[in-house]
Amino acid sequence: MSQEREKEEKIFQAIGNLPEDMIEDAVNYQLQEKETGYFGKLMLMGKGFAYAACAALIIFGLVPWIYDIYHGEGQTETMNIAVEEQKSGASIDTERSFDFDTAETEEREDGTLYLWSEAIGEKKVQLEDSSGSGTAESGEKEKSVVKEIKEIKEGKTVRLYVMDVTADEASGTSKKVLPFVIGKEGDGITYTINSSISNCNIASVTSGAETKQIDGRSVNCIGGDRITLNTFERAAASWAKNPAPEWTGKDIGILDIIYITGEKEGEIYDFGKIVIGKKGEKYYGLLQKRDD
Amino acid sequence: MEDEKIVGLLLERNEEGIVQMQKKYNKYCGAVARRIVASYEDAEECVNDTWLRAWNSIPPHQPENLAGYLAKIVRNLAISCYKKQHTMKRGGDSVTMALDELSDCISDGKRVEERMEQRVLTDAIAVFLRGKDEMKRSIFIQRYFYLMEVKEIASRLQMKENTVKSILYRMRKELGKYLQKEGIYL
Repeated sequence: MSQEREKEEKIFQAIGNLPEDMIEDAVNYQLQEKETGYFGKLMLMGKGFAYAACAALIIFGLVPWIYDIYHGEGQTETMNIAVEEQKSGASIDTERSFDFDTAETEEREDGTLYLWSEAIGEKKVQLEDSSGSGTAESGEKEKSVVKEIKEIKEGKTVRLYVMDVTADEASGTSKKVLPFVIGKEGDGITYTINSSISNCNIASVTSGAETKQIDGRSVNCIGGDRITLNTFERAAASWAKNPAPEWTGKDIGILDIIYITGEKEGEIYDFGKIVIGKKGEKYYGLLQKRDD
Repeated sequence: MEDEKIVGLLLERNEEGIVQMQKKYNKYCGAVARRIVASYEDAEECVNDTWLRAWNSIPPHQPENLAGYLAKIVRNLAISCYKKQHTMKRGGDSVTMALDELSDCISDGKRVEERMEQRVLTDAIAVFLRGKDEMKRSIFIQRYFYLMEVKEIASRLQMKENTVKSILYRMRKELGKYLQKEGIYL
């Protein structure tokens, strides 16, 4: 064995006889090192906030901006009603009251339509047990009514809510309808809704607690009534003039044009028309003044 | 089971001490052995011999740090195993191999001077290491006691490989100077 080798071996052996505590500490050092100190925690928190800020920027800034580019301005201008899950109490209605009178702050001249696309659905909520000692056992879930409403303003494309409703009780088949709220409750106007080619004819009208199935091209209703429109694609649309130039190049097919007129104390209003469009499974609405 | 209790059982010559020791330190000792000997079977043999050595040495020894104590035993056994394997690979002649085998029958044949020299060297290295901060000390021991690869140390300590390499390089140089200063000439 060379001298150099012998020296190395001596050191190697000496290291093998180091104190036992030192040996154990060395192998455990990794764990101690990973315990982050105050400054490290602060740095981690800072990092976390930075990531959250970036994510928020992307979600709330970039995504709607891109969406607008591809789907047209106004798509994202929705007036969502926050749905709050009420986790306690027997009441399971999570509907937040929507004040149609105060929803629109700007004063409008007579003859301007107040129109809302309204989604009504059901959502399962978990209820707390009555003793308040914690969450209820699984299975104590109940459905709650959920409403989301967005206003349709003239000239702006709005993504319309779609509801699945039972089309035939006997067969259990369902169909998609577009729900709207027409006018304001107590506005004294009698509205007339007309579907021009019957693709989106009127499926139903709900006045107060009473719902009438219509399935017709025309219906009269009063302010604050809820109507649903069918989403058939049975008639091929052919328009002399492009009803929605705003949608050109956006690949939105026009399903129907709904004309809305009104009458109050002998005075006739022409509220214009809603152009209903469809792209894939999404439905769009564009409120316009009547120009023909 | 706590180390103190395991040592207590071994001191009482209770075989449950071996069972508990195996249960707690089998993985740890296995990891130490496998870094030195290549084959899994050899490592396993070293670990099994470790239990026997521990059983035979406690008492009279009463280790305060059982993990470190076992690590030292298994490391020494694994290094012996490694040396034997390398003697054979080099085509060691039959006399060398026979002598190696017979060395198992006799007690540690090191001369007293050699043992003393070894003790002095170990103490000097220990003092040197205690003078270093915990991170540097750990890196040194992980590399030269546990024989971990630089890459593995870097990964465990979340450091760059080059940083670990340069720390080790500087420590080797400093240790050389320290040993000379202490009058230890190898």
